[in-house]
This record gives sequence, structure tokens and C-alpha cells, in this order.
Amino acid sequence: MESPRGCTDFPTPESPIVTENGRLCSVPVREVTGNAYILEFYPEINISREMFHGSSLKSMDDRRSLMIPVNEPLIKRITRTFFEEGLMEALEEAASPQSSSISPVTSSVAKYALRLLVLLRKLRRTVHPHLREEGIESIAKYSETRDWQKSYIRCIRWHPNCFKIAVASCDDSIRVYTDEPTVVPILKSGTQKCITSMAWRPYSAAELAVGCQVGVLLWSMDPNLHITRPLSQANLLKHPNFNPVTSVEWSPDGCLLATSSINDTDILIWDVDRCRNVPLKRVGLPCSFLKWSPDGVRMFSSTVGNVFRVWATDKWVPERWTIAKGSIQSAAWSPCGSFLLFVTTEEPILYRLQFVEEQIFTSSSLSKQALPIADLSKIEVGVRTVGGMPQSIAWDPNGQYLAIIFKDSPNVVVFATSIHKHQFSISPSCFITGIGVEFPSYICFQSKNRKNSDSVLTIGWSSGRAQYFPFANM
Amino acid sequence: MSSPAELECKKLCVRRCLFAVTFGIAIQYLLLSIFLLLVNFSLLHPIQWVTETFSLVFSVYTWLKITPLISALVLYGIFLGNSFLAVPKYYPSRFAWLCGTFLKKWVSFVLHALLGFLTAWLYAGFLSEEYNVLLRECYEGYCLNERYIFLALGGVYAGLYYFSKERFTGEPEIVFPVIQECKYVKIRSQIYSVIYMSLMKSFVPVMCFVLVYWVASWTVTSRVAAVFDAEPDESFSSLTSIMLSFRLLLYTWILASQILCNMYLLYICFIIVLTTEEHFLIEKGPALNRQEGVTIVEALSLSKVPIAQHLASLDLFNLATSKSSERRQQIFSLSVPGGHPYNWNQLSGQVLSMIDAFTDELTQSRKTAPIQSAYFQKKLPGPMPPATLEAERILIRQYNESFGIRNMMGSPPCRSPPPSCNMTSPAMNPCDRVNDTVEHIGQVINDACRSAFYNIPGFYYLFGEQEGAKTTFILARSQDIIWLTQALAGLCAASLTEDRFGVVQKELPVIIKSFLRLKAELDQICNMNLNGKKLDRNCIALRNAVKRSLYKICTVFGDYIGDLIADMDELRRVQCYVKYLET
Repeated sequence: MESPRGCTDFPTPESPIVTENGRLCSVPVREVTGNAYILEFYPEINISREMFHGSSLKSMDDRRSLMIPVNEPLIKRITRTFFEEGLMEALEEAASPQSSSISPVTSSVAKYALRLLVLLRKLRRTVHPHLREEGIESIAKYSETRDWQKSYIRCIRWHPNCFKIAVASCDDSIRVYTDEPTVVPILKSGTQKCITSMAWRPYSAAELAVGCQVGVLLWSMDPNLHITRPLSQANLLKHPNFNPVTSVEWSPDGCLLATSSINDTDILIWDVDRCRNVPLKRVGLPCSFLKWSPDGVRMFSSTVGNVFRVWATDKWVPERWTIAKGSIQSAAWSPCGSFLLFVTTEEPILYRLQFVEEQIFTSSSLSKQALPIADLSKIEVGVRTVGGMPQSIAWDPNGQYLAIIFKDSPNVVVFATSIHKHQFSISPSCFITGIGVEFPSYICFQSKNRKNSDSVLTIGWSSGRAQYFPFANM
Repeated sequence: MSSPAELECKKLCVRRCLFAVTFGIAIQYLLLSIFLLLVNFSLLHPIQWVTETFSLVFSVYTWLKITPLISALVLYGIFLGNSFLAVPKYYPSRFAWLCGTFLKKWVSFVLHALLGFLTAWLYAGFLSEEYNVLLRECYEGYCLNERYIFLALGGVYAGLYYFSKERFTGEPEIVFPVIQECKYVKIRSQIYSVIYMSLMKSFVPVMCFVLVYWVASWTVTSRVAAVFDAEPDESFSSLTSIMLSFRLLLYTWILASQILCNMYLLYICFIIVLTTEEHFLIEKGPALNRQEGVTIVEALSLSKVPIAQHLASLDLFNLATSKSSERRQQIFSLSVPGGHPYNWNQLSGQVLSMIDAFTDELTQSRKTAPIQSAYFQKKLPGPMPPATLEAERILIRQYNESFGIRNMMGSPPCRSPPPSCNMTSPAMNPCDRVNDTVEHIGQVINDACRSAFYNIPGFYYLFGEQEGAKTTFILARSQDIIWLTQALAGLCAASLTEDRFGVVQKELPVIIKSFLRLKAELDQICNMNLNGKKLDRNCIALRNAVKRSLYKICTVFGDYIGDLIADMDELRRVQCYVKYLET
């Protein structure tokens, strides 16, 4: 039996529910407050206290409210708007009733130009329907981070081989914490805007790939230098029309970097050291996020529609899967790479896919099905609301715990899982609540390595606080 | 005489080259179909347009007419295959390169021109009468058809344009793809992009050709007319007349793009085919039940067939990092009879010898100062101490002087001993001393002559060796070492759970030592200015690969590293990897 360290009233896993017989596992009803557990050597993280400034996404209105309006000539006003906000805004400014009273000719020319541009944009959206949602809103929609746009913590990533955590915050900076909390290096760059994902390079001391608005930034830090700002600037990996990059994933051997963008149907596989890339071309919808299986044999890629693919990485041949409606919200591989769990945007159901290479006496139709294994529908537990539409899932590297956060409930649900010889079972375990009104923005597990074999769930709360929730074998 | 393994590998290469040439021939038909579809386009009769075009493509006339082009293409394929399979040579200076490659470049030049001309000749034959004959009847005999000459020369120009742009300076080089996709997927994805790229790339050169033709047309047409005893055509004597013949320009543009497309596709196809993975044997088995084929170790030892070495390295990398342990088990197994780790010993010995030879070659290239640096070293006053050190020295001297402290140590040892303070033994033979002096004078004269020689404008450009050129050349061929280091690290990491007999354990210290030596060498080289470049991507790729390999071994064997390595200095360096502190 397993339970969280120091938690005496930790619930025993409820009766394991076999999914194949049609009964779905439901969300756990036992509450655990994990705030009392303070792990030695683990750095204390609270982004709200360390922020430089507000989000880079704060609207222009905030800045405008600080300024006193002045009377400008029309040409100057249009020019300023063009340089500050862009062509469309400048045309709108020129076409406004205020401008038409000053110069009716300019105003009417601007009106026609604006109509033409809107028409062209509509045409483009008809040809490429997936480009209907442009910009930041679409990033937030396909992100695994809850309330990505306003969340203090946008992403947390543990180094796969050593004790190192990178925390991306909404001020477009990344803080790197180690078990020596004297100096916290801060990675900040002018090009690093709207961080969507991060990934530490396996088998390297401190190489971090960051997916952001302009492309992929590659930071190389010297772990021996105890200074806040790294000496070298990040390398930018760019590809035409491949932005914003919404997902970056290193292959488990650290040789290749896979990147995806919600504005491109291709997945780019980078040989980072030589700055070369090769696109995995598929006709269809753009790719939203990627997950490389821990054994490196497969790579999961989801699109912004109801299609997702699982690529066999030896010949890069994909298996194409479709879901009934919506798109994939989040997915996680089992440590052995044989199981993939995923949740969709439209259903509160946890699905399971099995990839077993040498299955004897198995009908092909059965192995080609995604099985629903847990019902995540919202339930009331006392005053708490548990479950709902899932936001993100994380599976611990030991394969014993599965954590899920939701779009509309303020707690982290934990399931106990086990895999024995191609048999997978899941049972409800507990749910973790935060302090006050905070809700979980991002979850991940600490990597399993030489120094760490425990399962430690890291929760980034909406208050900017990161919490470590340890599980230990008893 | 070639060994059976070498013969087998050469056969493999020839098979692959044949496939590439066959594909090239198929491409001819595809491109011809595209050309005919474009030039015979009829909006009013679309079905007729398609059926007529394809019946023309598959007609006997076309098959006969395309034969000369296909013959030239086969020749070109043989030439290209030969260049791909050749062992790369290092040319220290431009002059050496010119001498070494002159004949090859000349043959390449002729083949490109021939291919361009034959393509133009073939395609022109399918156009209307205005374009498909050299001589046409006019007032009192025959006149030259300048449109035909324009197209034919356009074809030659496109062939030579490709030669000058892609093949003149660089040798055909095998670049392995980032990921191994299916051969046909790669070819299909390349066809679309190459056809589009060729159309874009050929537009400006065609415009340049128009200008060149306008300038030189009179000379060309008059000479061709003299040969055929015909009247020269003067319809394209002015630039405006050429620019206004839209149809001709369109045909030339399409033709040029087809020629470029053809050559690019053939080149890409050679690369795709030659870089396709190959599975080699791990062992051939006992004498009675011997398997046919080449083992990885045999392929790795074939330095005269570089492609076999590349493929074997890639295969070893794949098997070491693969999830399936079946082939790895063969490496870790003991021989029957005998019970010796024959496979592992052979493999590790071969790989380590290759890595060590590569490291030695790099060290040699770094230490061998190129000619020009000796010349420039004369100009420089020698390595300057850092400003902080110098300032500290001055401060200490001032302090000592002000307090009257004398330096009892004497003068510090000179950083670089001047020629006058040679370490000659006091009891040196006068005869040897004279010899030394003569030798020294000879050296000085030699250096002075060289300096004077390289000071003549243009001489250094032609005969001088670029700083770090040899190192860059070696690093450009480091892909094998990248795979081999990672493969060895992968095998070592897998051995912890899969090696039942502990055959790898004995070699681990040697492997780590070899990797550390290569890493140290690369650290030095990556800080150098190689061939005028501050960053050499190959150097970075190799350095990172070696680093990852060391990290992999140290991550897996972290707890036992103290028992494995005896040398304290090595242990200290390895500990940095265990603690993830090495960059």
C-alpha cells in the first residue's frame, strides 16, 4: 500500500475498478491537504513575490490609462498607431468618425482598405479554417496550463537527470532552482515572449529548450557559475511561419528536439547541434502539443482538431486516431511506454490506449480502441467540488500515481495506478486542495533519477506558489 | 586485393547507385510529362489535352528520342556515384585543390553541358515547328532558326548554371538525414519542394541568359550559320525583340527549371538511397553454419569504403539505443566454443581504435601550425599576459622596490625560450654546434623566403593553407564518431541490466578515458578560430555527443565510478559528470 509521507489518514486506494467490464473509475472523495509537508532541500518557490513586472500580455489599455490624451494632427495619429499597434488598427483609426470629420477623403480610403483587408482575412480563414483563432487566445486554448494567459506559473519542468527545476512565469522569465538555493539563475531575453513550454535536454548539465512566440530559444547555462544571469544569450531556432511554438520535447536520449506550432501542420524535428530540421509532413490540422514516450519508441502528437497521431520513431510512420468530438486536452505516457492516457476538451472521461508490441492471440480490432477508464465528472464532496472538465494530466515516473487538474474545480485529483505485464489498473486515491481560493495551474512529477526514486508531485498554484507533494512507499 | 567484406560493401553501394539512376530515368518521364502538359495546355479541350499528352509520352517516338538523354544521364549517374563513394581528400591550398580536381571538374562541366543540351534538344522536339528545327527554308535556301538556338543554348546555360552553383566548389557530400524516414516518403516530399524551388530559382538566371544572349548572339549565330552554310537569323538582334517573344521566354524558363529540377532530384535521390539504413551482422556464426554478409566490425574497418563505415556506425547507434535488446545480447554473448567475449572485444576494440585515431588526427591537425601562422607569429610579439596579471606584477614590483625587498629568485623563467637561450649542454661538440648554427641559419632563411613568397599579392590566396582548415576538414567527417561514441555509451548503459557475463565492465575505464581525451581535445578546438569561423557546427555536434555519452555512462554507473577508475585526475573529471556539473 502506498500513501503520502506524513499523512496518517491517507485513504487506502478504493476498490480497483476493472475498466474492461464497463464500469468506470470515479473521482476520489477523500481530501488531503498537502500544505504541511515541507521537503528538506527543496527550494521554496513563490513566483508572485519574485515577479519583475506584470504579464507582457496585459492589454494596451493599461498603458493608455497611464497617459494623458493629447491633441495630435490626423497624420501623426495614424502613423503613431501604425507603428505602435499595426496596420489594421491604423486603418481603423483613420476610418473612425473623429477622423472623417477632419479629412473625409482619408477616412473613406481607409474604410475601403479596411473592408478589403477584412475580406482577405475572411478568405484566408476559409482556406485555412484552423487559423480562425490567431494569437494569444489560441495558445491559451490549447495549453495544458489552466488560465495560461493570467497564470503566474506557466510551466514547470524538472531536469530528467538531476535536481533542477525550471519555472516559467507570466513575466516572460524563467527561474532555475536547484537544491542549493543560494542563487536562482533567471533566464530572460527580449525574444522570449509568451512561454508555452519548456524541456531540459537529457544527458546535459543545463540546456533548456523554451517554446515561445517567436520560435524555440535554447539556453545553455554553466552550472558552475553561481550568478543570477547567464553569461551567454539564448540561441533562437526559427523556421518560417512556425510560430508560436506551443510544444517542445527532447527525445529521451537528448539527440533530437521535436517542436510543434498551432500555425503549422508540420512537426519539426531538430538536430539542434547542427541547427538542421526536418518536417514531419501530414495534411490536415496544425499540431498543438507533443509527448515523447519515456522509452523513446513513440511520439504522441495532437492536432487542434479531433485527430491525433502516434509516431513510431524508428521509421517515423504515424498511426492516425480520431476522437468523436473536441480535441486532445492533455496526455501522458506510462513509464514503460506501453500505455497512453489522454483526456479531451469535450468529455470528462479519461481514456487509455495500449501499445503492446508482441501481443499474441489479440484481435486487431480490440487493440485499435481507446478505452474509457475513468469518469471525471464533477461531484460534490462536502463543500468541495471535485472533478469536471480536465485541464491537464501527469503520470509519475514510477507509474504509481496519476494526477489530474480541471478547468473549473480548484483541486488536484490523484489516482493510484499500476501496470503489471500489460495489465493496467486504476483506482481513486485522493484529492489535494490548496490554500483559500487558489486553484492549480500546472502539475508535473519530479523525474526519477539516481538520487531520487520517490514520486513527488509538483503543483503550480494560481497564487504563484509551487508546492511539492511527496508520495513514499510504506 | 579487396577483401570479401569490401567486395560485399561495394556491391551494396553499386546496387544503391543503380537504384538512384533508375529513379533518375523515371524522373525524366515525369518531368517530360509535366513539360508537355504545360506547353500543350488547352483550356477548351481538357480531356483531349490530357490524353494527347500521355499518348505522346508513351509513344515509340518519345522512347527513341529520349535515349540519348538517358545515356547521358547514366554517364552522369556513374560519375556522381563515383564521387559519392570516393574517399574524401584534403587539399591544403587552393592550388592543390585545382590540380587535384581539375580533370574531375572538367568532366563534370562537360556532362552538365551535355545534359542541358540534350534536355533542350528533346523538349524542343515536342514544341511547334517554330521551335523544333535548326534550319528552316527561306528565300534562297536555308536560314538559321534562332528560336531553336536560343532554346538549345538556354539548356546548356541551365546545366552549366547548376554546375557553377552547386558542383564547382564543393564535392558531392553525403549528409545523413536528421531522422530515418521511409525512402519513398522522403523522395515524395522532396519532389514537390524541388519542382517549386527550381521554378523559382531558374527565373533570374533565365533573365541573365537573355542579356548574355543579346550580347553574344551575333557571334554565335554567324558561326553556326557558317557551319551549316545557312543565312543567319536576325530576328533577335535587339533586346526588345527577345523580351517581347513571351512564348519563347516561357519555354526557356520551363526548360531551365526542368533541367535544374532533374539535377537536384538525381542528387537528392543518390543521398536518400545511399543513406538508407542497412542492418549488418553482429557475428557470422560457427564455421559450419556461417551466415553470408558483412559484420559491423568488418564494415567499420573498411576505410576505403566510407559509406560502409557510415552505415555500420549508424546501425551500431540504432542497435545500442533501440528498445529491443535482441541484437545487443549477441554483442554481450560469449563465443561457443571457447566462452570468450569475442564479439564485444572485436567491436569495442574497433570502435575505440577509430575514436582514438580520430582524436590523434585532431591533435595532430591542431598542433601542426599552418605555414602562414609561422609567418604571422614573427610579426606578433608573442603571447601577451592578461592585463590583470601584468598589473599585479607591476604592483608587486613597486611594493618590493618601495620596501627595499630584492628578488632572490632571479629572473622568472622565460615564457617562450628565445633562440639564444637554447638548452645546449655545456659539453657540446664544436662540430655539433656549427651544425646547429647552420641549421638555424637555414631555418631563418627558409622562413624569410616563405614570408617573402606569401607577401606577393595573390600568392597566399593560391598557395597558403587556411588556419584550421585541416581541423575543419576532419570535423566535417565526424558523423561516424558522433554515432560511435553514443553507441558505445548506449551499449555500456544497457550492459548494466543486459550483460550477464560482465564483458563490458573490463573495457569501461578504457572507454571513459578515450572519451575524456576526445572531449578535452574538442574543448580546445571549439575555442579556436577554425577556417575563419568562430563556430563550427560539426565541432559543437561532436562535443555535445561526447558529452552526452559521458553523462550517460556516468548516470548509469554513478555509484560505482570510484571502483572503476583508478587515476585520480580522471576520477575528478568524471565526478563532474556524475554531479551534472560539466558543460
